[in-house]
Formats: sequence, structure tokens, C-alpha cells
Amino acid sequence: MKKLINPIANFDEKVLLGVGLVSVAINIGLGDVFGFKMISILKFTASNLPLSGNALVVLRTFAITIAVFYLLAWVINKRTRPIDIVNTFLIGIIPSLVIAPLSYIPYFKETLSQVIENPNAIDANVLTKLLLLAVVSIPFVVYSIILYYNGFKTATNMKMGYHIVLFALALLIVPTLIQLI
Amino acid sequence: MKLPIVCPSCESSLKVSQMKCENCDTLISGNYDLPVLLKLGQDEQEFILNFFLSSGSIKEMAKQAGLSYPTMRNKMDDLIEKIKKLQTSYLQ
Repeated sequence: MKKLINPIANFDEKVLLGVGLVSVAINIGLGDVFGFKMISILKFTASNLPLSGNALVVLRTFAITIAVFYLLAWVINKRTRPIDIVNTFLIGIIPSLVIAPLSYIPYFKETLSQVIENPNAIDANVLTKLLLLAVVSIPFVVYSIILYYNGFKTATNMKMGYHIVLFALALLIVPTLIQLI
Repeated sequence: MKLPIVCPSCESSLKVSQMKCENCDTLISGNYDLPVLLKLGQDEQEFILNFFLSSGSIKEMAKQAGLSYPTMRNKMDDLIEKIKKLQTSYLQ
């Protein structure tokens, strides 16, 4: 259990990189099958891009995320290795990949479309589906954040309170930054 | 037998007050500081010994302990910080 909460602290970096690269491939493949793209860590939107276009979006998202967090890691601890930051974000996205397709399967997709089109007409059936989606999604999102935090903490050996605040700020700022670049 | 390094009563650092020659029973009394490495805990002393025995390879130590390189390096960094503080207080 401890190993699953913080894989960066317990597994060899080559194994983690291998698993991480496979997760990137799965991310791109799932996006192509279900029609979504990863536009930021923890953020997926509908997409009708071809496979190559989707791959570029995912790789760009990872590149910007890793660059920003490596910069922050370098500020916290100059001995931080890039491979540990790369692995943190490649591995941290895995739980999100489990839930990303959920919103794009017809059962939930139609419900979400209904809510977006007519937010004032939410009946009990729609509400139940939305709650079900939230209940299933939240543990995976929390697990992703735990993986990011533990991985970054291990990679940088951060201990000070303001390091944690900077990390939390970066998690909030990076999605906006990706959309601006 | 484990060498105590802190007072069991007030947890202050202990000092050496007596040494004895096992051969001729000569006793030396004084007020000596423990060397910096002996002021570390048992686990920390073992960590340094393992580091030495693995030819200074953190990677090798991580492999033996079934942990990752950054975990071992973090332990090493924390230990370095602790030894630096002990050295500073020893010099003062």
C-alpha cells in the first residue's frame, strides 16, 4: 500500500519511466477512442483531433508541466534530478486515466450535454448520474494529487511549509499557463 | 552493547568521563566530548557504515534496501545537515 501511495520513493526510476511512457501512450490512445484530450494535469476536454494531433497536445501538456515543476524543484533543491520530476508527472496521471473516459461514454456524455445545454432542468435521474460520476471520480482525482505531492516531495526533499504552498500554487497555475502558451 | 548517547533522564548529550585500559586497569578520568559520528543514532551510524561498505554508492544502497535513489539521497542529505549542525555545536 505504501508503495502505491509513493511509487517514486519505492521503485527504480527506469521501471517508473517505462510505466510512465506506457501511460502516455494509453492516454493518447484513450483520447483517440473516446474523443478527449488532456489539456492539463487533471483536466481533459472533448476533442475531435486525429491521433497525431492528440499526441502533440498530450506531449505539449507534459512538456510544459514538467518544465515548470522542474524549475520549482530546482529552486527548492538544486540536486533534484529531472528524471524524478518526469516520473512524478507521468505516473501521477495514471489514476486520472481511469476516470477520463467516464465522461465520454454515452451513459454520462448525454447527461453532461443535457446539463450544459439546459442547466435549469436537472431532474432526479440526471442528478443521480452526476452524483454517481462525482463519487466514482473524486477518489481517483485525490489519488492523482497524492501521487503528484508525494512524488514531488520525494524528488525534492521539500520540508518547509512555503515549499508546499509553492507546489500547491504551481498545481493551480500550470493549467492556466498551458492554455496561455 | 548499545552505547548510550543521550541522557535517559533529561535527553541531553552525554560526555565521556572515564576510560579504562583493559590490560593494566589504568583509569583516565576527564570530561571528553563524544566524536561527532558517535553522537548519531544507531540507525544513522549503520547508514554511514553501509554507505562506506557499498563504496559510497547511494544507488547500490537503494538497491539493497529496496528503495529508490531519491529516498536514499534524501536520507543522506538529512544526515549531512545533522552532522553539520553537530559539528558547529562541537566547535562552539
